[in-house]
Amino acid sequence: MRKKFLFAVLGLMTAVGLNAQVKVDRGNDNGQRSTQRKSSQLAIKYGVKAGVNLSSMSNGMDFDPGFGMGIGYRAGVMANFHFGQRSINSLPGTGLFGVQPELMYSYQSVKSDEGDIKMSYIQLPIMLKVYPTSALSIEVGPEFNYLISTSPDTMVFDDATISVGNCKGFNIGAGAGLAYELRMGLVVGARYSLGFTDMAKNLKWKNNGNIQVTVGWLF
Amino acid sequence: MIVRNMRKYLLALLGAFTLLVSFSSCTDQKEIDIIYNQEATLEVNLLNMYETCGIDFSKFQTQFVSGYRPTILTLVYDTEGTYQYSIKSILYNFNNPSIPLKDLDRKEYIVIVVQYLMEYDNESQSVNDFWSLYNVKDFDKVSILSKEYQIPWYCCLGIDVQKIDLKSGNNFKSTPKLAGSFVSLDYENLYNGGYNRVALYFKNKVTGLYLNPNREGLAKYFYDNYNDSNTWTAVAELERPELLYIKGDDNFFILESGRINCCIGLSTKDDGTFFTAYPSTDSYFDFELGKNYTAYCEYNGETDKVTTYLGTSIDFEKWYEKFDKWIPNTFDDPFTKWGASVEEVKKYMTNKKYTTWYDLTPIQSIDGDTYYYLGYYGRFVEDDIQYVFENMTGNLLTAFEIIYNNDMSVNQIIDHFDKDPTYQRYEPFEETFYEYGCYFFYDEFTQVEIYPDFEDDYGLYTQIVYSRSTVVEEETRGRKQIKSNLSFVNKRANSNIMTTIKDKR
Repeated sequence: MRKKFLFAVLGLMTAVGLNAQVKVDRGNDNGQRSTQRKSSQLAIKYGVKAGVNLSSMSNGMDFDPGFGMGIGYRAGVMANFHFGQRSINSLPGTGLFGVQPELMYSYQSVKSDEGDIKMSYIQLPIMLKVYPTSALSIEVGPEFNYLISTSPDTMVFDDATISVGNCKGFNIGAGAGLAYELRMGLVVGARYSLGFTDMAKNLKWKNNGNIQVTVGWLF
Repeated sequence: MIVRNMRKYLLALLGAFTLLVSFSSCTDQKEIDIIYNQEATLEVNLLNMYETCGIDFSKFQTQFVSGYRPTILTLVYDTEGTYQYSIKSILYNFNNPSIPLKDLDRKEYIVIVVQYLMEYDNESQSVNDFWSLYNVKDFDKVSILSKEYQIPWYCCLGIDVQKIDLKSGNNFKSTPKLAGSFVSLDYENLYNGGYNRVALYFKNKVTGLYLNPNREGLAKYFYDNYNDSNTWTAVAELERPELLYIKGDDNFFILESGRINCCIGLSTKDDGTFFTAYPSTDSYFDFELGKNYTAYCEYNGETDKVTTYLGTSIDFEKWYEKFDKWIPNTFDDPFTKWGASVEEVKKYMTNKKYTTWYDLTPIQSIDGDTYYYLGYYGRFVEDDIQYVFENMTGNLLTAFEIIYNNDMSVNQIIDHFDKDPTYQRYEPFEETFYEYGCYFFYDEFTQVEIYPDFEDDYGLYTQIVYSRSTVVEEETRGRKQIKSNLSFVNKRANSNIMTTIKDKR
């Protein structure tokens, strides 16, 4: 089931990529960068990004693990699809909307009374972007995550002993944030993501307070 | 144009969000191990099931000391009926134990508590469990079965089923209630009717109980032979190889409740597995859980009729007060031709329809002499009649009878001899006899010594010792010197026979 879903998402990205074969600037660089214009209104850029995670969890169990925010990091690749033209004279890919799929490795750490809980994810956020200006974008979208590993293996709280290391698997969240894309290609962004899925079927912990601050580069 | 696009994208966003929410429950996550460190406890009230039925706990403690242990089986299921685990606790006293319930989540569970006594040999530390659990992992079919057809009263079963919610606390209490009722099987004078077995028979004997509280009526019982029209099973039975005593009783536990096809059955040795049913095989009785019942049977030697009663013990007492039962109120004289052979004694006893308790048995006295004993069951109030021979072919030395005080008091025994013109009472007693509380009668051939206040597990009893008279013999020599057989009685008291006497009832 999980594999099927990931293939479907990747398939969607490939299909979008196949239809968009031009690479354009953002329409705000006065032609200083090379552009190639064709009849399409879509501009595609690929890039990399990295940053820090400030993560916390919500607790739905009967006992209090004393969760607090921990620091982690994230890095990955992204593709930026920017649709439309801001005006009739603007270049393609300068419109109001865009989509930005990302493929990230995310290392998140959450503090608890008995030490840090460390989680490694492969994440696939698909951000819908609204561009109030040609550089600033508001982004919101789902995050499809796969929890690769969790450590430590076992955590002993006052009320319960939990095999945290067995928490693995697919989960879903959503993110919202802001990004600013400089003409040179530098992208800075901040995003807050919310996890919808419990850590395990019988462990009512949601990794749902993740602040991401990233820096990237769109080529 | 922009507004139209905006709507389109907003609709797409809404659709995506809906898709996302619907996907949020579609995960591949599994359960992980969560062990709650703070365990719950279940405090079990061990005395309730006995006390509510009026069981004398001091009697129970005696049983406990002689090798029984309170036993608790705790079965834990979740509310879906999924088996979690079971705990068997063999206890050392009747203080309410706290059973630890470990590794449970913070949710509701169904806990079944089963209580009974287990036989426990202190020396070998071996156990004998009267009850067995079956299908523990199947909540619908989990059951407890008795290993005995007749369940002794002290092996009674208590059950409690309750839901516990670990969200609301950790300490729970359980009060098992009696899962059946008690039956006292009493009889009188059956010896004289020639019977060797009396029993309360049930059609469709229940051998166990399903523990699922949702089962009601007949569905909660486990039957071996339901609807087998030829099968009657004794739920309470008293049997002896030859003949029953003059009177006897014992208490049993039965699982059944409701309207039951039952009867009291009497058998002679020749009947084998057959019995005569009283009132009939078509009789029914309503049994209620937690009550005490009495099944009574009496044989009247004068009218040759059998009277039976089945009812609550309270009702029985009222009925028995008015019941005109046959009281033999006598005991037979033994064979007193001193010096007789074993064959002569046996012939005499057989003619009088006595049955052998034990055949000729050599017993060594404390001074090293070997005597030969022959024992018979009593027919009236006497518990037994025993003969002592000098050698294995004969020379009858002594005969003695055992009479329990409950059956006839010492004064009644003395009256018996006082009224018998054959014997004279010897008075005053010599000090020797006072010391032992002995009463003395004699005639030309036989002297009778009556020793009261012996005691065994069944109560006080009197020994009547018959032997060759020494009184007349000594009188002819001009001095009255009585030679007591008391030393012989003491020898007997130190013999294995004494042990056998204690065990025989």
